[in-house]
Amino acid sequence: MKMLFTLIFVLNWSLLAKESDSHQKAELGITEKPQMSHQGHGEHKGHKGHKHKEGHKMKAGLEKMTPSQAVVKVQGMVCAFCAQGIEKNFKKKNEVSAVEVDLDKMQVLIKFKKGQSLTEASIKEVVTGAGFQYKGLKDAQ
Amino acid sequence: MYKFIFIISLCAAGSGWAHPVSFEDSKGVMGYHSPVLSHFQLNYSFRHWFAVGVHHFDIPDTRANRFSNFVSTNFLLKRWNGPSYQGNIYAVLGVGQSKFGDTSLGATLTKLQFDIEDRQYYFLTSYSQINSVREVELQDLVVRAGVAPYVASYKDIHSWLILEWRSNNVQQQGAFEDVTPFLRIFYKNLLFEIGQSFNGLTRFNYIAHF
Repeated sequence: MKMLFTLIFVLNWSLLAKESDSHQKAELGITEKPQMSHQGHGEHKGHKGHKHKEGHKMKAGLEKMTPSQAVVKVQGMVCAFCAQGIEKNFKKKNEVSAVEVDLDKMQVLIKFKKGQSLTEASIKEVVTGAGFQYKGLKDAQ
Repeated sequence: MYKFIFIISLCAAGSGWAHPVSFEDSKGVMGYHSPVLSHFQLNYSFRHWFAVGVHHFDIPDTRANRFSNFVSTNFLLKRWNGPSYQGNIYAVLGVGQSKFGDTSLGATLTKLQFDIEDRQYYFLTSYSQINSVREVELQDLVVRAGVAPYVASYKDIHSWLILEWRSNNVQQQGAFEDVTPFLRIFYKNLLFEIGQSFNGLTRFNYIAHF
């Protein structure tokens, strides 16, 4: 009986801890990490995952999710005049709603339209097409 | 179109300060103007390493009008994308026509440029030469160094102080050397420079990318 209570307590504690963590992430503006394809050139359709949110019932089955934004690390982007190419060519993409260049951190924030995103291959293509070196995606989104 | 290029080039024109190849699918309008040499160019970049351009050079001469027109292929030969800097080597190869007075001759344009910059310092050197079928018409050597008094963010107005040493060797006119301090200001896709040389010559340059 004692073992059963202990087990229930541990399960409850772990569920509460998980929920608290997701709330903290939401407060910090951290969303799901983008699931960027490392191969191929087609547009990414999103990934499947569970949605945990207080007040909402968990949907039966899996729900499609896409990243709302991506932070791209770019090497060699020292000149604002030249970085225009990155901004312009990302804005040409139908999936992109906004682009913010940060020269201090040498990174570009890409905001996607709802339910849309770009593959990592597409992002890399834009960066290298503008003449810069692609250094990957930053973890926190 | 030719008239448009010619009219613009009379009041503006240049070389030795700009990137002859820009990002993919970009259009560039660049002008350099000085009382001894003017250069105007339009570029279209198919790739970040390859562009085509049209050029108009105007070299004032007391004896007759001297000008040259070229179409060119522009190449980014090498780029270094460093953690806090970028370096480039460019080459421009053009064919066209040089006109001096009533004489019009086939001509070529060649240019080699090296530049390196970070967000605070800038260095550039370039060498351009115009050859007609008879002779070397122009040799233009440029060395520039610049410093940004403050490091600006992407959407800020950027300012640079630039010192340019330039040597022009024009056929039948001889060499002309000059040092010019420039103030460069750029915002987004528009760049403008103005300077007055130690010989009292006013020069201005501009670039716009679309």
